[in-house]
Order: sequence, then C-alpha cells, then structure tokens
Amino acid sequence: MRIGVSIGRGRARVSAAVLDPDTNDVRAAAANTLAPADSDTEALRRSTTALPGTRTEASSVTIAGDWVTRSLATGVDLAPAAALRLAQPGGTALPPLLGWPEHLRTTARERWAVVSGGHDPLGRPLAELDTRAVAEFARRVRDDGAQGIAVTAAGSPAVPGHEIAAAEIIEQVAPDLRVVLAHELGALGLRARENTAVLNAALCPLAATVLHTCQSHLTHHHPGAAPFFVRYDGSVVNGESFRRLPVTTADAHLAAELCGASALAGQQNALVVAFGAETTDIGLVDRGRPHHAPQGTATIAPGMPVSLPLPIHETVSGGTRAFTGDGAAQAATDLVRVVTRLQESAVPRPVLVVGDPGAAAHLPQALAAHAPPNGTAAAAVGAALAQPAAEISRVVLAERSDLSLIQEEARAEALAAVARAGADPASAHIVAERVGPVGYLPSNVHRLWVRAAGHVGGHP
Amino acid sequence: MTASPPSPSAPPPRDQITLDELDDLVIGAELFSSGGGGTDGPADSLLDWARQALARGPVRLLGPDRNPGQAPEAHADDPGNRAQHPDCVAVLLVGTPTMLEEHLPTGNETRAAVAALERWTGGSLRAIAPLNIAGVNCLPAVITAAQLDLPLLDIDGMGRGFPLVEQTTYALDGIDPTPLAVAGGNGEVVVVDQPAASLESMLRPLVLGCGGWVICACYPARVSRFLRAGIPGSINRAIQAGHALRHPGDTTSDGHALARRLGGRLLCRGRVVDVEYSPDRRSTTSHPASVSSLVIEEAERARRIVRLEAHNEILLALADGGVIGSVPDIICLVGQHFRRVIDIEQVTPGLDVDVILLPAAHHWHTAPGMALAGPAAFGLPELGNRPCA
Repeated sequence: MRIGVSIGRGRARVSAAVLDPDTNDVRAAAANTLAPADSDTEALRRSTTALPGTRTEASSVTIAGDWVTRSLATGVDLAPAAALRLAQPGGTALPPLLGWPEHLRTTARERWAVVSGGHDPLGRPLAELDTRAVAEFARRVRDDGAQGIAVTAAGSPAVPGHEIAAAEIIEQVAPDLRVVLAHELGALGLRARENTAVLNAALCPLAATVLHTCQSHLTHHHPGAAPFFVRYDGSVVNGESFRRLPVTTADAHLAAELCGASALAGQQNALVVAFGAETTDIGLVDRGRPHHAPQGTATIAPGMPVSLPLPIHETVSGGTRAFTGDGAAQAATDLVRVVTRLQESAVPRPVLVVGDPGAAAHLPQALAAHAPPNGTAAAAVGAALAQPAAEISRVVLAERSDLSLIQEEARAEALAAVARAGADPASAHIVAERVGPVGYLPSNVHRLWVRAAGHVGGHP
Repeated sequence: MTASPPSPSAPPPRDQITLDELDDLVIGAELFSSGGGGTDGPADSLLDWARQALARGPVRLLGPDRNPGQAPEAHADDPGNRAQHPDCVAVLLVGTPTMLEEHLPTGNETRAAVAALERWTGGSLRAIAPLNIAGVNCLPAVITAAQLDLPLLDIDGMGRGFPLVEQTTYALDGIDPTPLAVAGGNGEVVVVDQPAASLESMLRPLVLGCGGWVICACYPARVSRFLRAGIPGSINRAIQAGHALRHPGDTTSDGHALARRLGGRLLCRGRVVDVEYSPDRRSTTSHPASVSSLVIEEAERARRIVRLEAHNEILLALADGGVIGSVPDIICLVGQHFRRVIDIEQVTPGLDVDVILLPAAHHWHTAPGMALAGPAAFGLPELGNRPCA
C-alpha cells in the first residue's frame, strides 16, 4: 500500500491518496479544500480522516508539502545562518550573498567570510586551508546568533576535502552550529551551490519541526510507517535526508502535482494547469518528471542562482474564485496567454487540469484541456508514486582510456546517493547518463552526468 | 557586417556603457557567438563582475568615426620613441566562463594581466580594446576599462567569436598577438613572448593550469592602429542586436523580419530533431574541444533537413546536403517563441528555432581573411560557391 499526502497553499489544500502497490492504480483519493488548517498537525489529521481504513496498511507515507517553498518566498521561518567560502587568497570580486533579495538576505546579513582554501575545478589545491580563520569565523557567527553555517569550497564537487575538514573544526569550536556542506547540494557553479547551501542552513530548524510533527502524526495514525518527502524533481527522500537537506524540497508540492497529473492522465508529456482557490500554477511535464531549467540556471529570485534544477512554472493570481467573479473574462485571457507561451517553449503537449474541483469548467474551450479522474488529489497521487533518485554532475580531466573508470565511480556514487535518500539498495539503478566535451578546453576535459533511481525500501 | 536597418525603437549609438546597456550588450553579443560561448551551464558571474565594475561609473566608448576630438591620440604628446610604445591592448577571457563559475575571480586578474604586459612592453595604456564580441566574452574588456578607468574602443577583432586568439582582424592588419600576458584567478601571471604560430599549443595548457580560465591582454599596439584594424562599431552593434532581441515586437513570430532587423537572413525555421556529440572525432591540437552536430527539420517550404556542424561554434549549415552557410559568416540559433539566443550546448531535441545567418565583417571575405578563418581553417573542405538559401 502506498500512501501520499499533500499539504499545499498554506495548508488550504490537503489531499491524500492510496495506491495499489503493484499496479499503482488509485484505490482511494480525497481532497479537502476547507479553510486553511491552523497547524500542520491539523492538516495532517484532515488528510488521514479523508481516507478511513488505511490505518495499519502502510509502511511509508510520502508527503508533498510547501513549507520550504513558502519560507523561501516570504523569508518567514528562516533561522539565522552564515556563509563560509573557501577559495583562493586575494579577495573576491563576487562575495557571498551577492544578488540576494532583502527578505532572504536578512537571514545571513554580514555573517560571511572568504577564507583561504579550496581547489580549482579540476581538483588541484588553490591554497592550504586556513584552519585558524575557519575557527575564528565559527566563533564570531555563533556569538552573533547564527544557528547554521554553510561551508562552500571552490572545487568541492571534485574534491570535498576542505569542506569536510572545515566542518570538523567548526564542530569542535561551535558544536551547536548546524553545518551544511555545499558539495552535497550541487555541481559546478560555486555561487549557485553556495546560495543553496546557505538557504539550506537557514531552513534546517524549520525542517526539524516539520519532521517531528509528521513523525508524531504517523505514530498515531499509521503506526510503523516512515515519512518520506517529495523533492523539487518529483523524487523522494527519507526523513533523515529531509532534516539534513530540506532545501531540496523546494517546489515539492508543485512537483508532486505535475507528476500526479501526468500519471492520472497517462500522459508522459503534458502541460498541467493546477488550480488553487487563489492562484493557479502552470507547469510542464517531460517523460513523467517536472520540466526544469538547465543545471545551474535556476534562480530563487532574479539574480540569485541556485544549484537545484527547479521546475519551470508560472503562477497566475487568479484561482478558481477569479473564474467565477466579475473578472472571469480577464482571468481566462491571462491564463490562455500563459499556457500558450509555455506551450510554445517546448514540444506541444496535451493540457491537463487538476486542483480545485470544478476547475475544468472554468477553463476556456480553446485550451482543449483534459481533466483526469481524481485530479483534485493529483499532488497526493504524485507523492504516493514518487521514488528516490539522485544525480551526479561533474567535470573531470582524463584521457579517454581512464574515462570509463571515472564514469564507473560516478555511477557508484549516484547509486549510493539513491540508497541514502531512502531507496532499497538492491533496487538502485542508473536511469540515464551523459558524457560530453567542454567547449574551449583541451579534449581531455569531460563533463559527466549520471542519474540513478530506486524504490523506497521495506515492504511495498 | 551589414549594419542593421534602423528600427523605430532602436537605441541611438552610445558613447558610453553604463549598467543600463549591459543586458542588451550581452544578449546581442551572444548572437554573435555563432552558437558558441562555452556557456554550457550558468555564466552569470562574468556579468555580475561587470555590474560590480560598472557600479563605480560608466565606461567611455571611443570609435574611429565618433568623438575624434576625444581620441587619446589627440593628447599623445610623448616625445621621441616613447610614441612608438604600445598604448592599447586587447583583452579577453581565454578558457571557458563555465569554469569561472566554479573558480571565481578575485577581481585583480584584469589589472594583473594588463600591468604585466605594460612592464614587458614599456608602454603605458590609454585605452582597452575588446578582442571579440562573443557572448559574455565581450565583458572582460569592459571590466578592465572600468577598473582601470580607461576608455574602451568601440571595435573588436572578430565581429563574432572564433576559438583562437590569433583569428582576428588585428592579426590580418599585421598586429602581433604576442607578447601577451595572462592572469589566473589564483595569482598566476605569465607573459608569453613567442611566435604567434605556436601560440595556441602554449596557451591552452596554460589556461588549464590556471583552472580553466584566464584574463588575457594581447596585441599590444597603438590606439590608432587598433582603430584602423578593428571592426568598427562592434559594441554598439551588439547593444542594438540585444535590444532587437529583447524587444522583438512584430518580429516575435516572423523569422525573416527578425533576421532582416539583425542585418542577416533566415536560413531555416524548424524543430531540432537530433543532437550528436562526437567525442571520438578528436579535436585537433590547435582547436579546442567540443564537436557536435544538430539536425533540424524545416517547418515550412520543402521540409528540408538542415544539418549544422559545430566545433565550439556553428561552422557549417547544410540543407539536404547542400551548403547554405559557412564560417566566417555567423550562423546562430534563436528560439522561435522567446527570441532567446541558444547556445549549441543547450540545444535539446524538440526545440523550435530560427537559424539565422549574419554576414561576417568584410575583413573576413578577403583571401587572407578566408585563410585565417574560412572553412579550410577549421578543417572543412573547400566549399566553392555557395548557393543562396
């Protein structure tokens, strides 16, 4: 039995779904669109009461929430954090936190430093790690109220050693600081990786609270079931990975809704219009997964790159309510415009409508949209279907004869990462990989990319 | 290159670059990179570095046909042979901006490269020249001019992007690329003084040794010589092209109209159906890596199959096997719906594109120009007369 739960739009939309573990057919699905729940506990309770009779049958429950998305959009619930960059001496033209919008910048303010250390992109040391400066910075930011610290070393996707060494120093001088290492959060592109790591550090206390709430809920309502969480790409991580790397659940609710809509309609490629009461999200699905920006080009805010390939989507302010009021014609026009633009940016694909019940009735005929059954619980279905996945991306210097060995290492790392995210290790397998040249560099420089996937461990 | 016809909304020629022109400049320059640019990933850091540099104030632009009274030469009153010392250098990034995203600049690399070359040549600089106008690679010269508070010449040596430092109109005019100086992000400074013929084999390993990118100051010469040898108005042409792409107006859905407005012609409108990398087609020692082919199925007319052959940049366009465009002309991809310039390394099957040809500067359509940067220079067979598309 696979159970999915979604809590979206500020707890105003809660849905739940139970799938057959063998066929993935929907056995039960329900959505609740009452007034926003007062608490996460209440929202989770609503999801469970919507589906009586599932109490003892699940070994895991997958949750697609929007806690992280909302926190990043508003700055609320972000804990004080600090940014430590390890790079070559001599200053920097591009300091940490450059380009951050004010509502996020307040989480770190002046708590950043660039300290000697790190490696070049091909893995050669730039400088010895300045261990004294690392310790001094840790003490300073702890005294200044930071709860978390993100460590980002130049070259860490290839050589994470200085990040790990810095973490050991910080744990000695300031054991209460939660340390986030950027090499766990992205590939080439230091600033995108650093931004992501700092946000992650700021999100950790929120994640700990959410995890605790979910675990308490499951203890009462699904004894023995472990919580899993949907990530930005529609895959899942276990509770421990969520607690350590909560930023990877940014856009989780959207991702689950896109994947769920695609699955319910049996369309691997689709454009999904997801209606809420107040806003409508429009996104694309490619081969059953959210269509995303190229690696490293995603932004959380204009001018603030992050290393997660977040789903490309648009949000229009008219939800179902806008389609029933005075501005109905205008809302329809706006929606058609956005759908047409997104549709044209990719290979044409069927339009699916999910979310608020009755939403399809408001859609302009011109879109030729299809409303799949159980579409009100698309996000929960997407959550129930989600499985662990991991990607490894790096640039290596190697002669062709050594390349296959390096590819084999990258595959092994990807498989290990899938197992860490909660997959049964025996189920982990490589789903796609690429190797290609890097422009304007000698032909012995290669870019590698590997994606692995697996199934949630334990009894299905 | 043919100047683009003025459109009602085209910005007037600028005599300086401020933060306001930066986005237009970079997007226009992306077009001139002929599908190259090396930005197979994020490349915002060069742009952010330029923003930081320009935040201190604008960079003055000097062209051969404008502000003659302000040309630095007018103030040159150095006695004797000092006047023969170079007072200008071309500046570029060698390597790939993708590596700069990981190995970030300290901000001192521009000064270090220029100062090293000044020491070696005994000259004192009065202006900076861009080496090329290809994507974010146009920015190092802007950053250098801003940081050193020097004017920037409104010219460039390629009118586009080429992979080799010596493939320039500066070289065609007889300016030697060497001595040159490179500065890496970790304090490396190297002066290279050697014959230009073997420059590339020296430079690429050096770039790799510095972590994948360096700031390079080269072609030390007099300002007057640069103004004669360079392709005039390059910076303003890029700003205008960028403006046209960012404000497509009635050229949004009309590939022919957009191509005309950019001063070129539409080769093909269609959908990418295949992308092939050829890692086993070894790149030669003189040309750095990245060989690929794109196959596009034409949406209209005869539904021709158009094949683009790229080696860092798009070099050749074939329609049903016949040549319809080739280097040194610029062959670029523009997204049909957002008018975004598309780098060959970002192309995926399913993308709807306009393939546009922009004629190269007249300097390249000469015998010496074709020898330096025509198809044969890239290992392609002699193509003979090209039929019109």
